[in-house]
Amino acid sequence: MRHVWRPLLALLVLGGIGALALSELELDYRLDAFLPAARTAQQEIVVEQVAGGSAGRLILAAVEGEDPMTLATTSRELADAWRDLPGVARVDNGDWSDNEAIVEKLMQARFVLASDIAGRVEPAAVAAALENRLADLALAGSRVERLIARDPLGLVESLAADLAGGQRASTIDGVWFDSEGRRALLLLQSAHAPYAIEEQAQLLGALRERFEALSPPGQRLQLAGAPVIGVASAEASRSDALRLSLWGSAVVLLVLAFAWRSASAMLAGAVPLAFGVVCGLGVTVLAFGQVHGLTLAFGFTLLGVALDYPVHLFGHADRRALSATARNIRAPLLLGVASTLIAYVAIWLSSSPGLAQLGAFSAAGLAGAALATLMLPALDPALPRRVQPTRVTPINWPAVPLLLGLAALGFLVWQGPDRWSNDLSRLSPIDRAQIEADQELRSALGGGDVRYLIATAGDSLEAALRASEATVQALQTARERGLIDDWQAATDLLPSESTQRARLSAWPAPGEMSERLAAAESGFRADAFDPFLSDLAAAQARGPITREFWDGTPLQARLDSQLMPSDGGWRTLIQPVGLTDAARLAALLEAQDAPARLVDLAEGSRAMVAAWRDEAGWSLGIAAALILGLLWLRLRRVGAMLAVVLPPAAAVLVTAALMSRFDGGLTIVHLIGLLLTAGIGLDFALFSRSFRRDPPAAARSRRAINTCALSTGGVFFVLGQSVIGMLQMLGLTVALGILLSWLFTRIGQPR
Amino acid sequence: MISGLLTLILIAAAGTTEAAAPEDLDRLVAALAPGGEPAELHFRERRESPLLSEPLVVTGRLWRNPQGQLVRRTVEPQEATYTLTAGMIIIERPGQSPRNYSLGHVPELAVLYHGLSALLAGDADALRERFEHELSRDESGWRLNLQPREPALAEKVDSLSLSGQDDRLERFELTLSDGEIIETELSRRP
Repeated sequence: MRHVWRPLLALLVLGGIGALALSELELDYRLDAFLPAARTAQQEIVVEQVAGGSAGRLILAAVEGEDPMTLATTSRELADAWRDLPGVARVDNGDWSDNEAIVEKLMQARFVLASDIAGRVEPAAVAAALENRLADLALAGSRVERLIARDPLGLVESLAADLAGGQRASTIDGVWFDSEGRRALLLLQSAHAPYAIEEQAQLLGALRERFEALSPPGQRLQLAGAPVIGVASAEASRSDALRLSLWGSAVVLLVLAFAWRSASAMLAGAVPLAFGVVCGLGVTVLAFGQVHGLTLAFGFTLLGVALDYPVHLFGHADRRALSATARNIRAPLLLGVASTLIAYVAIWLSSSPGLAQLGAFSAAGLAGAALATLMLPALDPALPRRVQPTRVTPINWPAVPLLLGLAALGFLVWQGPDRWSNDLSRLSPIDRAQIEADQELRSALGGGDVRYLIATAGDSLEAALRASEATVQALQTARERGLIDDWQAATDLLPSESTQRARLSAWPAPGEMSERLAAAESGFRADAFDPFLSDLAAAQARGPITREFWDGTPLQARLDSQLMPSDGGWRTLIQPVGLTDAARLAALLEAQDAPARLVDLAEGSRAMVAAWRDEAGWSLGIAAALILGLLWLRLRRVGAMLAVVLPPAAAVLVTAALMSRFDGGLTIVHLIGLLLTAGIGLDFALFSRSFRRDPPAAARSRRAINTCALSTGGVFFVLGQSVIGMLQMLGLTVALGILLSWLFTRIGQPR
Repeated sequence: MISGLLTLILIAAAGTTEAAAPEDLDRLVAALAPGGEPAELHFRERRESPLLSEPLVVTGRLWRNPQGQLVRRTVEPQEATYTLTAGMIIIERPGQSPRNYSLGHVPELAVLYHGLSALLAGDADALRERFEHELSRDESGWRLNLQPREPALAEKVDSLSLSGQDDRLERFELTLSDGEIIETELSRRP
């Protein structure tokens, strides 16, 4: 028992520090951290959209199960009940008539937002508008008198209809419905960050609770959107992670219990890993100030290599003191660690902040684990209790890994660009089925067309808005040619200052406007429209509206998603609706000299993933060259180099070829997995090589390598069973890589 | 003179007894119900508003379509079609796509819909279910006063009063709670 206390104490201290650090850490869940860093304005738009500035906060709600009029009532009551929940930024069900704030804002802004003013104030148009007002009066009587007096030309009604352009959802009783009139639709914006999962989960719970409180009999509520997906997949991955880590731990414990048969050795074996985690966390926080949630998840798995170090130490133990064994394995261990460190430092230098964190965490963790392994004798653990192996029968078929490696290389070259997968969504931690349910509801709401955006830019707000207006002109031509149904532009809410001034001066003076209204002889009293005329006078005195005009209304969020500051200026995004032929629209925009670019988010993200992977590929290539240089400095002989490099290199190539062929193309996650494989395989080869001349030591080395392959390989195989795509890719790649490394090390040593 | 007075009293008495007879509403409804082809009524409605220099006159036609909806097509002040169903009004105006709203927003139309469609369908029970009714007759014809039972409607609409002669519905009057009165004259021909 006396051998148990020190390792146990060390483990408890390290575990305590780790747990404390984790509880104090503010984990960062921004999705864009693992996306490549944007280099162009177009890429910036792609990253913003994928990371989901506003789209990541949108919640779609559908109520079904009753006749449309009852559902419309529920929609209104629900919107009211949801609006005062904390964490809800806005609720929209298409009906603004109850929203005094918006109606008042539209009343003020109508004189600068309405286009074609000359057309609206000509005698025939005024007469037609007043005829409509009479019909309103005939329909609704005194309830609409105030509105008619303030807005005889019906500007607010037509603006509201224009602003809804692009929402192709139909309305029943003024609220949004799907096209069959079966489901009432609502749109919410959460005030919480897209990946603040805890808060989003609470919000979703509160939304459902309020619906239950209304308890409309027979009606059902369905929620969708990024927060819903995020919460559901977090729950799924939590249970997945728990299940997998239980199984993974069971595999390791089983293998080590069999290999060492000593509780003290097993406790001591966990110390380097724990020390590595503490080092990794410390360095990442010092270097970056925070840690991304995914960095932790992946970092722990990358530290899987560290599990091997104590296995090598205990595996090589003989009758001498453990400190002698530590000295004995120091050379190959440090060489292996140094090589792997070069690769992780290369990742650290990546332009993607998430990957850089991952590199830093793993490099620091690995170095810490290696040092802790060499210091383990100080904890005085018991030695494994197994009969020492004495003999090995070497198999020397280096031609097998050589030929297989060359064949795999040939296959990868022959495959060409097909060996890569450029689908950004494979790198998303979200479950595919959830995404499909979301898209169905999104297209019911008419907002499904999010692949394309039309971007304009300017070095000032005014310049960007003017560019957007010029583009809208070109889009009108596109609409006449049937290329596009409609669009939503920032200038719908905030025209450029010059346009606003032109519109204000196009309005007749109140006196003349009054005469035009009277000239229609519609039966209204002479003073009936005084409120309208004083609004007009006030608007002309006030001048143009600014961006801040919409603050505090639901329209602010919309404007913010269409108009944003960018490097050295402003950018506007126009959302096309019903775009049929993107190539023809792009050509038309160019032919019309529109100062805009059609951004294809899908194509943009593909190109970015490819560029990102190229960058990672280059830095890993340089790292590989550095590793070879380092090994050459230590080994100094071609034969020794070949013996050490061939097994891991062949294992990496064959794994890459197999994963590319059977896992739908390689992604950055596969590259990380291959890097891990190379590190583990290199350790195998180095240890195998170092002790080959001393048969008992070679036999111990072989047993240690077997133990490593079984425990680490087992853990990653378990990880490969995850439902989360990224973890599954990583797990399968590393498990296969370890199996091949073990095999090639065993049979691939030259005689 | 005496006989004249007596006649008057008799007539008045006869009126009271007739009003009290429960089967009288059924008789009136049966008489008014169009036999065979769907009936179409021409209407002329007057509505006052402080915004207007003289009352607004709305003219058009009113009928019950085969789906049981009440269609109100106006000619003045504007050609437009308003289709009333049990819960909804569909508004079709020239140059605009159709819009639909809950009848809950326009309680006077809801009352009109329930009253007129029951009359046009010849369904006296539906009338009794929806309204408190009072039927009176005098030499100028009959008068049916309806008061909505549904609290939400009763809050906004005091009464719908229909009148006419024999089997003809000639006018109705909607009295709203705020005192506004909407008078509508009806005829079989324009």
